[in-house]
Amino acid sequence: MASNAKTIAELLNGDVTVTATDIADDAVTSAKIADDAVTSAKIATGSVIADGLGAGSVTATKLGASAVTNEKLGAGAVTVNKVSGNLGRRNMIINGAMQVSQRGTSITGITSGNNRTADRFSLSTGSNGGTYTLSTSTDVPSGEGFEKSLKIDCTTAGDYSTAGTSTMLRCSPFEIQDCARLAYGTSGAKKLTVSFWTRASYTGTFTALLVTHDTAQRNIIKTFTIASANTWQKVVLTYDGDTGSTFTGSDINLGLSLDIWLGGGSSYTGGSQTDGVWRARSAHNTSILEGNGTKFGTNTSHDFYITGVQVEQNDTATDFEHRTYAEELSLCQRYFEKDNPATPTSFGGSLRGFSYHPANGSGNAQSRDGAFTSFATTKRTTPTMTLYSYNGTSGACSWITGGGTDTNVWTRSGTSGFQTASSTYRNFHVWFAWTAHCEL
Amino acid sequence: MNIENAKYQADTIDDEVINFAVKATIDGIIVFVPLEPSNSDYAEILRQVESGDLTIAEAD
Repeated sequence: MASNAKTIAELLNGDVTVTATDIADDAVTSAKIADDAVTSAKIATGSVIADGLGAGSVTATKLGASAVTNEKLGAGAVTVNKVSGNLGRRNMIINGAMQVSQRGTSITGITSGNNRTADRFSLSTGSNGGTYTLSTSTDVPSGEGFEKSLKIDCTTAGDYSTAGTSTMLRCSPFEIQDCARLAYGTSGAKKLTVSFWTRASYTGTFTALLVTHDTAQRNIIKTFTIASANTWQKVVLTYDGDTGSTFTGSDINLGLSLDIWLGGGSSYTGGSQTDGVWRARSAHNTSILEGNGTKFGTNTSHDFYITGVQVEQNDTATDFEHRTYAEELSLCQRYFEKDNPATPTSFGGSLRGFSYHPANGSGNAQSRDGAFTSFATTKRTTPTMTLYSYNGTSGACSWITGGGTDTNVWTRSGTSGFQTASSTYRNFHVWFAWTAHCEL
Repeated sequence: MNIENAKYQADTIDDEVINFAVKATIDGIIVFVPLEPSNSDYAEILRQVESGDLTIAEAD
């Protein structure tokens, strides 16, 4: 008998109280304790210390809601390695909150491709795919800190009777060099989580693709459902990394895009859709819209809003990473920059949005004497330049004191700026508005 | 993309004429497109030239 056990003599003398010192060492095993017998109230303060816990014995399910507060975390206990995902610059998307609309806030009569109001987001449709107005809206999800959304509004119904027509929103496509972090083409290919807020008057299932555009033309399909019309909802989609795609082209070329398909013709509704699996685009494209029957744009009541678009290297969605307008504008200007009114109509006698340059040329349109204008941001590649005269005529400039429209003008661009001159108004200053475009 | 009136813009350097851009009307807007393959407009011009849908006139 253990030395600290209760003796018969003690019991006969009426000492029937059993204290902790009367219990032999190791006498009370876990098997002898009834389920739920030890409650929190029976545990003395400070009696459970870290050294008394078995390895792995405290799992997340054993922690009460809000049980771990900041005060209970030791100094230095949470290191960067213990935080999933990246803390800063998580969002690979540029202008995900639709803050920047350099080209203007509304485009009407859209029936073809590559239309932009909010920078970096382009709407494309095609024959019999409907007619749309693309605009920047102030209708946003409440309490999320957004000021703007992108609105796609069907103004003339289509029927997608043209098999190859699709209506698709491309969201801030990525350059190859910005995809390196994803380690695609290796066994360590990273997962991406896409999240955005959306609302639509049209309920149904839509498709969100990740598409690689370099040597391996591949894509992965995820669908999302809008079950309640005209109600903002957050969509979260996590995509596996692609071990089969490699990027071998120039760093500045198109590498990866997030494409949201709103509708399409029969070329995209056949086959057998395999959600969540990377496949060759040639194998997947025929089934992008298979099964979901999405025909957005077949009724003028259809509209679709989106904001808070985030793509992050992670397997869960974190809160939207808000950035300042200045940051977003600078990021957008790598692909488009302007010094002109949003709609290049007359900029008349005001100083709004134009530049002027001496054109002391030697008398021909190929003179190299035009002055140089620097871009605010270095461009992705040499941009396409458009010049506008004072009355909004493209491919033209004006004489600074006399107005007029001179189409005998040339411009040469680089990634850091451009040079312009006029032969008609040589030896005078000319003025013009301009845009520089080098979208992916 | 509707591309019309494509014409090279050229410069003369040491008596050699060198093209540096294509002046064209794209979707109704006159633009200057650099001869840069990574520029999506120039890539489309090249595609349409190759398919026979577009011809680029020589510079003056």
